[in-house]
Amino acid sequence: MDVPHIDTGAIAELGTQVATSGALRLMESVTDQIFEFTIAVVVIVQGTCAN
Amino acid sequence: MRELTPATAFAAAGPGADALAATAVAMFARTEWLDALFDPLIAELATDPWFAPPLRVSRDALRAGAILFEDARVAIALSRVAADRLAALPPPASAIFSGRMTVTRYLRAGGARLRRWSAPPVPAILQSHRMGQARPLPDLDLIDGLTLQVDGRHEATALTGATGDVVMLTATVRVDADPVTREYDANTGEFLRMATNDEGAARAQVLLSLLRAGRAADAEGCFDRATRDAAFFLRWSAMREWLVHDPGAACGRLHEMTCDPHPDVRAAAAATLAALIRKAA
Repeated sequence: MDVPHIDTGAIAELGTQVATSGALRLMESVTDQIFEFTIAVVVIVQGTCAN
Repeated sequence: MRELTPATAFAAAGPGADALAATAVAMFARTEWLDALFDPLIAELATDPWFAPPLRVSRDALRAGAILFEDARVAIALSRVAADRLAALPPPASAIFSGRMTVTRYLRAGGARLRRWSAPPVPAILQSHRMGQARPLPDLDLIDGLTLQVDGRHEATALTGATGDVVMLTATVRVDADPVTREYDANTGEFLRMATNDEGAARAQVLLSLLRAGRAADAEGCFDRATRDAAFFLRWSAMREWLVHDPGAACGRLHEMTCDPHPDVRAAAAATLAALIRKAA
């Protein structure tokens, strides 16, 4: 089968969502928030450069 | 006599959450280890106001704290909740079940009251409709020196009504923890949402997005491995990224995931496969 390109929006979401941010963490390390922020910036920059 | 420190105490503790919590309770009944930790830091500050104690600190809208000890099994933090900040906040809208055992000694109770809730244990299959309801428990008036063990796998607490600052020593046990932290409506008991306690799975999810955005040419193995992870949400997140990255390479694994152990992953895989087939037709 020749598999067509698919956009993220067309891919089904899970019926049960599990957050990955530190929003519910209690007195836990905040380093993951910095990590996620850094990755998010890289993703945006790479997406911008590719266009 | 061996000096009591968190490292020596927990090194001698049994492996499970109950044993580690019992060790924390016993430690918190003694203060010489706290004095040994803070006396030199206070002495340093007395001579050098710019001295930065070598402790990891964290702050949020409500509390400020420092990590006093941390290893793979347990973390001990000293924290202060400012009474004026607590008073400025509305009553807690949600009850948070951390999924972990904690032991807290209220060094200064600040006249606070503890609201409490109970909830059923985390179900074997993580689905929202299986999470049950949270129920309120009687409030607890805090007093100075009170030590309280809370099993975050089925108990939640929230501070309220403090007239003075609350200073707490808290041990958080990481072993035998639930895979998720759960949040329920504080008034209705309705389940609201959950967040993973698995930092590795959370990071992997973010890194897979990076692989996809970076159009990494040799990422197929990473996506494939992640679609077989123990965390169901990571399995599907990896497949979503893989499908956008290289739908041809992902399709075979997508078909396999229509038989995934988690019903939500099976349903999402089946729906996505059907959409791809329709699009290809």
